[in-house]
Amino acid sequence: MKPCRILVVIPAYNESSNVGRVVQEVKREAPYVDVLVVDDGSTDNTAAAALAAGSLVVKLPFNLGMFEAVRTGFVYADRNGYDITIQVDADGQHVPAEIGALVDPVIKEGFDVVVGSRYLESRGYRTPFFRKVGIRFFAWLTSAVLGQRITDTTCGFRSYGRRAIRMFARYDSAEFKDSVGLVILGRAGLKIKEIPVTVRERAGGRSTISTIKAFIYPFDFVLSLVAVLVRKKLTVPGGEA
Amino acid sequence: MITPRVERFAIAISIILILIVLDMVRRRKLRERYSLIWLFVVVAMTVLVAWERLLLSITSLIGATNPSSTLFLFGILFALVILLHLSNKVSDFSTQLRILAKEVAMLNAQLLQVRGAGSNPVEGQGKRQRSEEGQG
Repeated sequence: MKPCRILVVIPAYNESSNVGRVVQEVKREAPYVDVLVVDDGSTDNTAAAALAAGSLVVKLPFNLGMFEAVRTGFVYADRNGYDITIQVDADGQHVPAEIGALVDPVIKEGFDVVVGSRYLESRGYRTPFFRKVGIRFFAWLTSAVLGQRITDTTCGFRSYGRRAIRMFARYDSAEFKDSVGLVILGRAGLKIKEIPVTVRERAGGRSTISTIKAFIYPFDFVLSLVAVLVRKKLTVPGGEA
Repeated sequence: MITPRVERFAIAISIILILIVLDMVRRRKLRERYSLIWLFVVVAMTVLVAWERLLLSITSLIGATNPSSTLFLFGILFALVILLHLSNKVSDFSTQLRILAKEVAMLNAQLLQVRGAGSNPVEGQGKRQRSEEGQG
């Protein structure tokens, strides 16, 4: 079997206090991966901290949002011939020791997307009540549309194979955010697997979700989902970048 | 009813608008493509005002009682069309801007890699950051 090139993408917005530690931990726990920090237009020295920790860095000229930062990582992976991309959050909530478990189904079982779930097994991650209700709802709707049980649609800890990387990198106008992304990928015929992961409490910095966003999110989600369902199915683009 | 006075007033406004649009095109403040939609709107409104029989028949066609409401309706409709057109453009632009931002970021990273080949890339990035801060 040919060796697999794996890229860990860490989207980071003003995470200079955490990003270095996360990069180092990823390198320690998974020495076989390359690490790319996508600095999403930070105003602190996130990029310098990432470089100092020995990561590759792509710095966006202004803040595009978490999702576009991740997508920048996919474009990088697509153009540089990576086979697998793993998204890890810069705030240190994901456990780099679980990267192996996230990658295995892609390499050994031919899955295109492996989604880390906080709720597939009870591992003591506490979620505020309203957020939990929301997550349940998104999971239920996503499962119904995909015809496959998904328990956690908002956890960012995921791995993607080549076909998924190409989808993300080359459909510039499509929104692959969170569960809607899963729906787009599932409709394109990609195979999705969920595995249980552990998510830590935040080490520092603030959560990316503000109150207003939390209020708008469900509407945005349903609207995006409807948009995806009425549009033509996307197919996996072939060939080189 | 559209009185001759209202008609003169409306036509005067139309002419002023047309002049403003043409002047903006002349000074390159407005692209020809966008001026077209505005000129079309102004001309259409002028025709509605000046051609009373057309206005009256449209008024009875849509069931309005007063010709001036027909004028208002069309004015609002035209404004809505232009707004929709602009929203469409803004959507396009934001997609293009996102793509461009990503391309710039990728090119910048490549440039740093090429420049940093042989020397310490960390130092290179640090310097660039400091000089950026100096400018800002």
